[in-house]
Amino acid sequence: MPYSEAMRTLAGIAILLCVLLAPTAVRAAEDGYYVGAYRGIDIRQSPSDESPTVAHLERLRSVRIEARERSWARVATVNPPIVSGWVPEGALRRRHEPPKAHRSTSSFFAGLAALFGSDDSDASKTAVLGVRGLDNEGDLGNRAAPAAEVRWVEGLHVSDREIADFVRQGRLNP
Amino acid sequence: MIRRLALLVAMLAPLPASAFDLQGLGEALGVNPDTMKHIEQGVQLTQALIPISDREEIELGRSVAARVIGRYGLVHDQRRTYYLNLVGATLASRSDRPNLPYHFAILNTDDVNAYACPGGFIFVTRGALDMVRDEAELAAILAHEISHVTERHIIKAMQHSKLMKVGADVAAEAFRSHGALFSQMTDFATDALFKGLSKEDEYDADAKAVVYLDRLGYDYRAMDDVLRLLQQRQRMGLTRVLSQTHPSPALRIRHLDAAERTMNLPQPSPIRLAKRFARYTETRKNPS
Repeated sequence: MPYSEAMRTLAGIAILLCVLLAPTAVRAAEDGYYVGAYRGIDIRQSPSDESPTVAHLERLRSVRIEARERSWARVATVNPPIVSGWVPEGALRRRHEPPKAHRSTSSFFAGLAALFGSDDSDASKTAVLGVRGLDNEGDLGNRAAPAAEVRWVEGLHVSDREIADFVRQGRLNP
Repeated sequence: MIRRLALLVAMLAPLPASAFDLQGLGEALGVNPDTMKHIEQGVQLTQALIPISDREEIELGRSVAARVIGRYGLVHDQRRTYYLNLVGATLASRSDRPNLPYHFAILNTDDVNAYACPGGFIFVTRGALDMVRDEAELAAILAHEISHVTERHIIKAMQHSKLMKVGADVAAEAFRSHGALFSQMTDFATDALFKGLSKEDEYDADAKAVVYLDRLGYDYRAMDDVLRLLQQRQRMGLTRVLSQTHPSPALRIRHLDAAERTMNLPQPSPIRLAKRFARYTETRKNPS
C-alpha cells in the first residue's frame, strides 16, 4: 500500500473514531447525583459486574458522573475520601429526585401481576439496585433492630426436657 | 510451557486473590487472555475456602437477624412463639447440626415467607403461620429453613464470593472486630436472604425437610401440602415476595416428587397434630 493511501486510511479511521466517541468524550462531568440503592452500591474498576470491586459507596453518598458507558456510569465521590469507579446507572439518582417511596401498587394489581406472571418485570427493574426480593420496601432494608429485640430472640430457648415432653405428647419418634 | 504455567499457579496459589491482578499480570507478560483465564481457575481451585467456625457463623447470623427484625418487626406473642420454638427445636435436635443454638421467632407481616439466618436464627412470618393448618405443615416450613442452616447454604455462597478472597487472617479479624468487612458480610448474607438462594439450594432444602419430618415421625407429605398451599396463595397474588425469592411452587413440587422417588421413604405416618396446633395458635387472630 502506498504511503499516502495508508495515511488516508488512518485519517479515515481517526475521524470515524472521533465521531463515535464524541458523545462521551465531550460530555462534561455531571454533578448532583447520589447513591439511591438502599444498600449502597459496589464501585467497580470497569463497567462490568465481573470487574473487581474498588470500594463500597453507602446510600445517599454524593457522586459526580464523569462518563457513561452502556448502562454504567463512571463516578467519583464529591466529598473525601475520594473514590472513583463504575456503578450501574440505575443505582444513582439525581438530587431533585426523592428516593423511591414504598410500593404504590395496590394488592389488587399485584395480584393481577402475579396471575399473569409479570413478577419478573418488576424483578428485573429492581435487580439494578441489588434487591430482588423486597424491592420497594427497601428503605427499611438497612435498619437494624434494637439490640433488645435481638436479645429477646436469643433468649428464646426450650430445654431438652421440654423437647422430650413435646415429643412424647405428640407421639413423635423418641 | 506447561511446566512454567504450573509453576506460576503454584506460586500464586498461596496469595489471596485480591493481592494481585491476574489479568493485568497476564497482559504484562504477554500471555494469551484465554490461557490466563485457565491459570486463574487453577489458582482458585488450589486456594482452600476460608473456614468459618460455628461461633463466627452465629456472630454473622445475629447481625443478619437484626436486619430481618429491623425490616419487619416481631410478634411478641409468648404462647405462639414458645410453640414455634418447641416445634423448631425438636426438629433441630434431630437435624444434621443439632448443637447450634436455634432460635425461632415470628415476623410481623402478612406476607407468607420464612427466613433462615446463618447460625440458627429462624423467622416465620405471621402470614405463613396463619396459612398452615396443622403442626406437620408448620414443621415442614421450619424443617425447610433448618435445612438451609444445616447445609450452610448462605455461608457456602459467601465462601465462594469475592468477598472472602481476602485471606483467612483478614476474615478472622473481621469477625473479631466487626469492622467494614464484617458489615459487607452481613450485607451479603442479608441480600442472599432477601434476593433468594439458588434454586438448587431451595430444592435441596425441600428434600432435606422431608427427611427431617420423617425422622421425627410427622407425615412427611406435609411438605408437599405446604407447597400446594403456596401455589394457591400464589394464584391469589398473596406471595409476592416469596415468588421473587423462590422457584415457583409448581417447580418445587415437581422436584420434590422426583427427589422423594430416590429416597426410599417408608409409608407416610398419619401424624399431623392439628388439634395441638390449634390449641397453641388459638390466639392467632389477636397478635400483640
